[in-house]
Amino acid sequence: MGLTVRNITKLYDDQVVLDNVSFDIEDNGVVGLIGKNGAGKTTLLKAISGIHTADSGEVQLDGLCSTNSSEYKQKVGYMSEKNPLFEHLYVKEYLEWLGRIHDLKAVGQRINEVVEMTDLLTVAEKKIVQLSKGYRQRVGIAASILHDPRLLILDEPVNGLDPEQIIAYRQLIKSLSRDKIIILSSHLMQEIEAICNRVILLDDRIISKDQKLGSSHVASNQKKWILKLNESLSLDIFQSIDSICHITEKGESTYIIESKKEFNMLRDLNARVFENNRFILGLKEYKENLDQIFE
Amino acid sequence: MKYLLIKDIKELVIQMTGPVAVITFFLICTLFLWVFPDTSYLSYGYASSELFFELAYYLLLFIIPILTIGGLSHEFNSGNIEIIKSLPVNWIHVLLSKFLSSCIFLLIIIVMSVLVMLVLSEITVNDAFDFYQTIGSFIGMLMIGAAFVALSILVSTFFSNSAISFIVSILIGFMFYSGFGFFASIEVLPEVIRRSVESWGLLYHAEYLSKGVLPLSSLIYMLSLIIVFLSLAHLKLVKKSI
Repeated sequence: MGLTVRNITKLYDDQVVLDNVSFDIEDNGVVGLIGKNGAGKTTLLKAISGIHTADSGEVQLDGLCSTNSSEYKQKVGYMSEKNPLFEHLYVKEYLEWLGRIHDLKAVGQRINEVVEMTDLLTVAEKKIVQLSKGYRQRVGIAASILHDPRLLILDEPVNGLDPEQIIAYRQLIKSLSRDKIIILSSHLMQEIEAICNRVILLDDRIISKDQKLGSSHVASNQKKWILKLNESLSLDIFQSIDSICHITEKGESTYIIESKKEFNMLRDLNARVFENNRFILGLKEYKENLDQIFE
Repeated sequence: MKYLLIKDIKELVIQMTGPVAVITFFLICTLFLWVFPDTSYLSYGYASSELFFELAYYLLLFIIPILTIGGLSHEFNSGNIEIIKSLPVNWIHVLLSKFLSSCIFLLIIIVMSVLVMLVLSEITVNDAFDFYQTIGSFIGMLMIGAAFVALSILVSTFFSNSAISFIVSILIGFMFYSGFGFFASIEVLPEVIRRSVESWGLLYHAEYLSKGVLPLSSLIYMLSLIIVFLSLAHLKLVKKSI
């Protein structure tokens, strides 16, 4: 179950915007979608949300195909990058209208919950047109979670939020991700790093990288190191050290090492480097951030 | 669909498009029927329903695009169409909601026109108001107005610019209303073609209705036009990218 995106291709006026994009999201959590401007992020999100129909391929959420438009959309919440809102309506009136369209039971109670979750209490009786950008973003988030969707899609949701609001928003997303699949697109790497469990890089219409974040890609008893020598050395020499599981060259005389036992590795590494008439210029634990992953 | 319709009616009221369309219709009617000397009942000393309906049909040609142009093109330009498309509704719901919301203001115009007719029939001493002719004319007004609504919605799916939509709607509406009649008057064309072309015009059918005759073919033709315009609009929207 979960979300299945299979071979999605989308064309605009014969120009390919998405080319055979596939991925699965099985577990609840937050998946970040990053990519350059024009890489096709918004198009992909719209295809997943059911706003667009892909030219080929299919999207399924818990076995329900996106072509079953109404049923599928009941399970999806979408907040667009531009965050359009019906500006002439009052905040509560707008949420009530959405609740009625989603055929929610106890609309009033749900609106109160969502207004509290998104900290909209002070502006709930105001017209949307009177709100600041930050509040408008919050109305957009409130609207997208009102019907308690299984899949929540947020396209650049922190645009216009101040630092305090961003922290509150992160907490909200984290708490929502316990029982939802959340796909979040952002230009801000630190935003993705702060709340996402997994990140997908969309580059030039295709998925070029799909990786879990944190230490999940390195076994818990292993560590990663970055080693800098005065002169380069053959990789075979490192591989002969028992405690080194994997080594890759990263630039001139710089290496990324995955090791098992810290003490043994440092001792053996030092000895082997010295034997080969080299010396260590630097050795430190290597923590990947998004910039390094997608370098 | 019900809630989309409520939203669309509310928008027409809040943006003043609906009230302005209704007021404009009656203001122009009043000017033509009571003020301007060439067409005033007072100058003639004789009030007839024919003049009112003739004027009303032409006025609808201009008034209906006022009601519809702000609808779909505004949803696209403001990006609100993304909200609508993310909801459990489809393009048919969106189109019908736009169509019905405009038709509600058309109905308001017709209901107010009925009241005007009732007042006129009370204050005139002649028998200028034939009951069946008047009923037929009101049915014609409803059908022609609805066809213009469907046409304007279709046109607004092609243009994001409201002004262009407005002008093109009027031009095509004019073509469907009396343009075919003008073509049919070209004498070099064979009689069969002229008759056929003439029957494509809404004016041709409106004339029947205003005589108190309700030919099924006219009603079917006008209903077909509405369905064809809305179906084409649906096709266009399905292909349109958001």
